[in-house]
Amino acid sequence: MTTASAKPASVTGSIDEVVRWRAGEEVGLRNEIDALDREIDEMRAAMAALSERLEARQSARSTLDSRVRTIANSGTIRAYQALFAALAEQAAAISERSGLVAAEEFARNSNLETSLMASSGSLFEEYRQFKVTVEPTLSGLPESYRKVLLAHHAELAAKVRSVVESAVESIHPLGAETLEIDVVWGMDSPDGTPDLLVMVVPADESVATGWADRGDDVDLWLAARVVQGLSEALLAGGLAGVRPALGGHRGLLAIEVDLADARPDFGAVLAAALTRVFAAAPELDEARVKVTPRQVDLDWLLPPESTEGSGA
Amino acid sequence: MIRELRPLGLVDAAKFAKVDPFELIRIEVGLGTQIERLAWSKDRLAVVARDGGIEAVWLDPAKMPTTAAGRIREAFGELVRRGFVGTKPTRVDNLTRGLPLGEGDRIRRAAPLMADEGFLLMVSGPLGALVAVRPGMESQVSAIAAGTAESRALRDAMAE
Repeated sequence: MTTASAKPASVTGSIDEVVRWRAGEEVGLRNEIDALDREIDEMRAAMAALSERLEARQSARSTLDSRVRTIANSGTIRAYQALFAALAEQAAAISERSGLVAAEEFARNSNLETSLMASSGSLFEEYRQFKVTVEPTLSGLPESYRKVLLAHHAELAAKVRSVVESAVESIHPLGAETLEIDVVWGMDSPDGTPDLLVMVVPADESVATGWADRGDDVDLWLAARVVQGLSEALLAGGLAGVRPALGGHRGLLAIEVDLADARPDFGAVLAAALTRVFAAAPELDEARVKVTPRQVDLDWLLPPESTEGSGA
Repeated sequence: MIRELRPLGLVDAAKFAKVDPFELIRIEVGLGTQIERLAWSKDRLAVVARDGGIEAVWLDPAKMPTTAAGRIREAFGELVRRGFVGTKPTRVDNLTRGLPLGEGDRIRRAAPLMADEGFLLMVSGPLGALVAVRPGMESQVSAIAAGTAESRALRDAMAE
């Protein structure tokens, strides 16, 4: 009896099947690869777009940074110009006030002489007679007589001076509005330790060198009180040997001080000293000048470097 | 008459004391004075001059050289003659007493530079800037004053 036996697989069939399988797998993978490639391309395009946007933003940021720097510089220049314009106006007002004080002083001196002669005329008359008639003859007298006369005159002169001093010491405020002015200063403190001080006073710069020709006036009194406050602060701050340099800047009195080794609180010491000195200055009281010390950014007191005069 | 009996104002007081008004203020602060009015009696100014070390005269007017250069040199030579050497200094502005302003300025400018050259010592204190001859330099400074030796700093200051 013949039995049917299974037909053996042919090589071709087997291989064909493999080929089909492979082709099918490959199509599937190809499709996946294509999909990934599309995704990669899309991502690359998105990245390129982002990169462009990033670059644009960075450029915009850089422009803004530059504008910030420009504005900071312009702000300093404007502050410098505004500050000196205000101080120049104050200096002009001080100068005007000096004229009023001089006129008042002249009138007061005339009245003073009249009132002193009325109250203590005999003392003054005796003093005058000695100066006019006795003093010229002293050299001809024996020394013992001369000594007696001079001793008596010294006693009389002390009395007369005391009368005059008490009369001139009383405070007579000027009949004018109070003039409010500022004395400004700035300090450079690179490591928190002050090493340079610049002060600007709304007084004519000529007080520093032309004081002998100008005479006593409000400009000089103000400058002197600033120097007094500064000297007291230097002494209190252990900087007694430091010499302030007085000069001019834009027509105003400027003072520069090398503060090497100053204490970190020197600014507070200076502010306290100036406040105390201005508050106890009778001549400024009489002139009705109220002075306020103000600390400002040092850059506002220094001439702008490259951009000076830009009018920013 | 009242005017002559009044205390001196700041400018007159400074002229009387032979210092500038700001130096007068600094000396008073250095002496610990509470400055009330900006007015000084002559008695007070005598105290300021004494305690502040202000000399009334520096070069003898009768023996003062006739040229500016001679006067400026002599101002430094006077330091040796008066014994301002080493730890015994005097105010720098004393050297300018009685001299024209320009000559005084040259002396003030030359002094620290001559200190840099080693001829002088300079020190600053509450009463002002002080100067003395550096010990051992007395004969050199005298020779500079006599014009037989030279200080470059002094020569430059005089040429300005």
